[in-house]
Amino acid sequence: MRTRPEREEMSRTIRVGIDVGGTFTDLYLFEEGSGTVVRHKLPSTPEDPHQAPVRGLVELLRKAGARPAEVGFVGLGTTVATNALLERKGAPTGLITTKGFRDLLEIGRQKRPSVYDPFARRPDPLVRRELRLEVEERIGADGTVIRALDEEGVARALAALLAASVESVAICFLNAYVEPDHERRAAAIARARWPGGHVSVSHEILPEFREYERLNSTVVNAYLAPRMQRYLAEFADEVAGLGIPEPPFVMNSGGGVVSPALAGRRPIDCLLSGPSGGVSGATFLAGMVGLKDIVAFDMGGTSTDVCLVRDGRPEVTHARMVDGLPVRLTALDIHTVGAGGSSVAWIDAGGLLRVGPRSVGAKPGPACYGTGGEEATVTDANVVLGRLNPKHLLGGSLPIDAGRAFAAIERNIARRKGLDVREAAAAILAVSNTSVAQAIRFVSVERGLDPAGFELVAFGGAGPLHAAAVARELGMSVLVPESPGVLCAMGVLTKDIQIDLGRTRLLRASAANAPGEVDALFAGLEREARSAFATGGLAGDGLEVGRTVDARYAGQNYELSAPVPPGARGAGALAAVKAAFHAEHRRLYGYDRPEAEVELVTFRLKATLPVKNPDVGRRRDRRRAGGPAPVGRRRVFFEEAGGFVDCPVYERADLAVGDALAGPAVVEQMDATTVLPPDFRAEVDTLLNLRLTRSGPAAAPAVGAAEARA
Amino acid sequence: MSFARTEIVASGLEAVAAEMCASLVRTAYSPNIKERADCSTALCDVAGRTLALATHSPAHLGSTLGLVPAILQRFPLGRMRPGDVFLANDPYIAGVTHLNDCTLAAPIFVGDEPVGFAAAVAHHSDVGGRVPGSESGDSTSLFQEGVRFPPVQLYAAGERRNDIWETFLLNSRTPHFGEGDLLAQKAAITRGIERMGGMYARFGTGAMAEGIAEMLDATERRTRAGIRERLRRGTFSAEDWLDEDGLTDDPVRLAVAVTVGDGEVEFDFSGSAAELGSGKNVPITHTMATIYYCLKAMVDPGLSINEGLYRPIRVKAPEGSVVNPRPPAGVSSRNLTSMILADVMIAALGQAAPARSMAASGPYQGIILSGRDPARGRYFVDYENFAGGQGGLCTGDGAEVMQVHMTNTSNLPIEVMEIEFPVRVEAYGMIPDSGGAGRFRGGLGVSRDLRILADGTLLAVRSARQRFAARGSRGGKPGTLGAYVVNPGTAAERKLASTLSEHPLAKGDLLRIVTPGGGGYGAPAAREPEAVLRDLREGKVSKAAARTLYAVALAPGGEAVDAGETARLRAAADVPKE
Repeated sequence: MRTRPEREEMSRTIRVGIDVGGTFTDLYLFEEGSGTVVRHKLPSTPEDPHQAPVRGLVELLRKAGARPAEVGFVGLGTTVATNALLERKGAPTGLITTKGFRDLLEIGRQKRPSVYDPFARRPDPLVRRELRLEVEERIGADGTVIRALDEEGVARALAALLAASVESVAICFLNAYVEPDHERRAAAIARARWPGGHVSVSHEILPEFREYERLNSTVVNAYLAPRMQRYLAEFADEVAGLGIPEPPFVMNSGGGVVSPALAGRRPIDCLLSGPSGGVSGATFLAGMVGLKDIVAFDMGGTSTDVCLVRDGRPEVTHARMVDGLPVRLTALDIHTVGAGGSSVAWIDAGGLLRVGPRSVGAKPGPACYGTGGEEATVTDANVVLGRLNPKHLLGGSLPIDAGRAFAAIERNIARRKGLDVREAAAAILAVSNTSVAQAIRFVSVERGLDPAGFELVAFGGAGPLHAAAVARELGMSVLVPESPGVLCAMGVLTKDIQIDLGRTRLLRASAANAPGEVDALFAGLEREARSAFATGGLAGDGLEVGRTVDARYAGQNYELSAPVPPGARGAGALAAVKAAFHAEHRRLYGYDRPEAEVELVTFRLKATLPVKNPDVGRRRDRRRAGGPAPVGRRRVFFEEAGGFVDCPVYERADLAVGDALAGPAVVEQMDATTVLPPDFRAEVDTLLNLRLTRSGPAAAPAVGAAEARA
Repeated sequence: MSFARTEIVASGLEAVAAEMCASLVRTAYSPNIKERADCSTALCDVAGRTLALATHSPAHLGSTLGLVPAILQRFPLGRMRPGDVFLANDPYIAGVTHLNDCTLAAPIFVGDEPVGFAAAVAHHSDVGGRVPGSESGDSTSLFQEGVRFPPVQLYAAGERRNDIWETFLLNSRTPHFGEGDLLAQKAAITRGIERMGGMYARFGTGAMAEGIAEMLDATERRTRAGIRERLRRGTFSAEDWLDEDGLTDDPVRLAVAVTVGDGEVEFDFSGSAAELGSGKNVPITHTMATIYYCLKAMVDPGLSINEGLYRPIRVKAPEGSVVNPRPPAGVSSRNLTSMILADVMIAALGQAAPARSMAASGPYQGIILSGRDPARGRYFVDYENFAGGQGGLCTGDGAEVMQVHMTNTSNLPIEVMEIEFPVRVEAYGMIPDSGGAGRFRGGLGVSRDLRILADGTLLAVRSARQRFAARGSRGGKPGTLGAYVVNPGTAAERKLASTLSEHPLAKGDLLRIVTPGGGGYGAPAAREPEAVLRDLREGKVSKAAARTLYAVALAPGGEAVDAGETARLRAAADVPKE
């Protein structure tokens, strides 16, 4: 059994984070001794997903001049599970369920996907009806056996499914969250008769109530398990083959990393692992400069991901819809808006300008890429207005044709709106920025928060370009990390090894047995967590345990999370949970009912094994005499300045700690451009982050404002 | 100001309404609002025009049509103060669609100037009246359906009027829900007032007025453009029947003549039945909501909900008819009537818009179980609507067991239901052959078996299409009917009436709820044989139906289509080739 990574031999001081995205795979290497950082980027290989990260590792180590034996930690963020679900490329799956209920998977919550569009299709269930088999059994809501389990029936159902060539089997019985005995026995029969087969069982995957969500989550897990297990095993083998002594870890959706063995058994936990890396990186970086309340703002080509981080902790959710299917899992509460650089601007039939949600993606791409795109996009608007480099992007590797951007906006927007091309481009940005700002406000409001007290941490290809405009709408200031393009890969390094477990047990807080029950439930969850760590080859010493209870007023059907203070037990723990629940209810909903009965619903335990974080604060600063010198100048359109303004353009790598810039200005780097409007100023902080704050109302005189209409 | 002023004002108003709605759903107390989101929030100007309306439920699309004038008639604008909040629920005065939809509205001030109203409409679980839940198809007047409030002042300059507050709660069987829901509504409109105030402060009163006017015009233009693009000009008629009026066995005729003009549509309901003596009438604002839903569904689902959407529509709904009743006619059970009305309108519009036509659908069947729960020693009310099958579409099969048209509420999780109420669900499965046969099959209905675990349980039911099936379209067959059956398959089996209240059930009784299937679209024998085979494999269509209705023959073993024999069967059936 391994010891904790912190106690690794001193020589293994290299840590690598890998983020496999749809288009690019990013790698981030950190050497603990010297503080050296090396970054690498290469195209992803969706047809053979483990290829890009492995080749990237080899290239990265060569670039860093490091030996595989020096690597003490490899963390992988991957969208393999997500893509397999989105593309419906999981394993043929069968279901064994309670007699009378095989259609539950298809009926779901009986709602239609789009209220006003009868033609919108509900996604097909992942298991076809003839592969959903029923067995005699029934457990009551109180856990009593209403009908005994027909064990022969389980064996028959399994045989029928195997005869139909399923590669994975899900088992879910009604009320199994309160009494799992029937599921346990059914699973034992299936595993005994199908050694080596994939069997996902609802009380193991998600021992929580609400049968359809538990059923669907179990089925999703079963559907993904064979592919995910194969992928991770191949990746781990190749990493070992390179001579890296430590097995890699995989990022999960809840903001931690887990062993490949666990991730293969519970792929559902990694379903949203991709975007959570960026949030972790943003949270970590902001924390290093003392910012605890942030909005992680990741704007890419097709969409923008937004996540609130309160007091250093990203908001977490336990219920998500993934491609129309409800999935219960612990995940960072990331909200996606259909607005990105490749979002298409269009005029609706009433004459209003709209931006997105349709996107031209990377192919055909924005018109200015010259790769066949004819439509006007947000990127084209940025080029027309001089905000993006009108000659080339990505360090010169992507040529830009400003004429095509101009023509696309003229043809599709300006003429139809009766605007000049620059005005039309400014309108596109205004509409896009407004919708992003509204999304941020909406998710804040939903959580009873005001974004004005938060810092906007902007990353992704387009985040720094739009951050100031969005922040202005919301009264926020902005942090742009030194490497906004590889924040996700860095985020992987900042994660602890973590398992999230939950169990539903409805319990009135006033009940006499409540204190004892609460203690027993958490003790059980902790045992389960330790055994999961042991399965992953990790000793449980040093394990940190966080406990929360989802509670509600009796009669409500929504729960809020209330933390249990560390070390609190029995009646003391209960009192703290009740107090925290009332306070959270008051904060979110504006009132509480201290006299009402509190019902405890789901008990959650987060077990973490801390990983040593990269000490990026120890990095050496660049030395340079005097202030930063612009690498060039260009005219940039600012609506708030009334037209085009002559702006200095800085190279990000030239900026040093303490440098101050006054807007208007543009800062360029390989994979991102930061725009500083006239009413903003920026400073470079001790970690080389750019910190943008509003300096006052936009008043800078526009150079040739009249040209805007020319 | 911005080159995108209208867009920014429009999206700003919609965002405010959406924030209000999110706040209301999250902070409400009763399952009706929290779980079913049976509510809406809106911003209106002082002229009463709806500027933005957010809802998850189409029944609320016209929630604020008559609200502002009703308030101003009683509380003149000049005497209004910041912090005033008004309460109203009377469908004939405030224009809500039944007494359960309690509405809170408050003026929005910019300085001393009132510029509009923020409103929050929420379905309260009980507002008194004859039956628990206040809704009943067999009520004989509005007076049996709960307490009536014209616009009254609930808060005066920020001060709560406890006399009104107490009166309101005293008239409810579920005052604990009522109080929490009112607080949630108050919080929602407070948010709306703050955010609207912020928009006025930022843009200025003049620019806001211009932006709003341009926004309403843009929605109107888009609606008219959609009508021109999607609908053929002409007059198109359709009719269908509501099973019974709730008091007698008499069926109720619902008919419409839709006249599509140049960018405008007229809906003429002159052929519909006279006002009913029961609670199944559809008040005019609900009729309007049904029209707005159908127009969005058939013309452009992305249309914004504001005054501009309302402008191109003309309505002839004779006063004293089932679609425009007079006080004190009952209206509590108007929603199922409007479900059939939506089928009728979509049938008529479908003739004008062949590219978006569909067959009639199976509407939900609703039950309310109430009584004393012996195990928990408390009174319970279990209110649920179970979906039927969607009608076949001109582009594909109707969805199985899915809410359609005027409702989109979810079912309660079985594991929640069995904890909260003395019932047990014994089966919940789709009914083979219940979807009308067609080239595109109607969606299947569902059968749900409920075991009653407490003596003295009372059942109320609401339904439609237990007598008149969802019709097929263009040669498609009708779906099957809905039903309520007690103790099916035993000597004690009895079929219940389709409208019923306070029907006693005993411990051990089994209640079976059968929901209707959707109608089929196109001739069944034109269905792809492979689609029939897939239905067979999945057990959604029987072998007999495959042969007799779909004219599909199977090869020996039943695993494949016998193409030759199928061709012969279909030739004999003289299938129209599409």
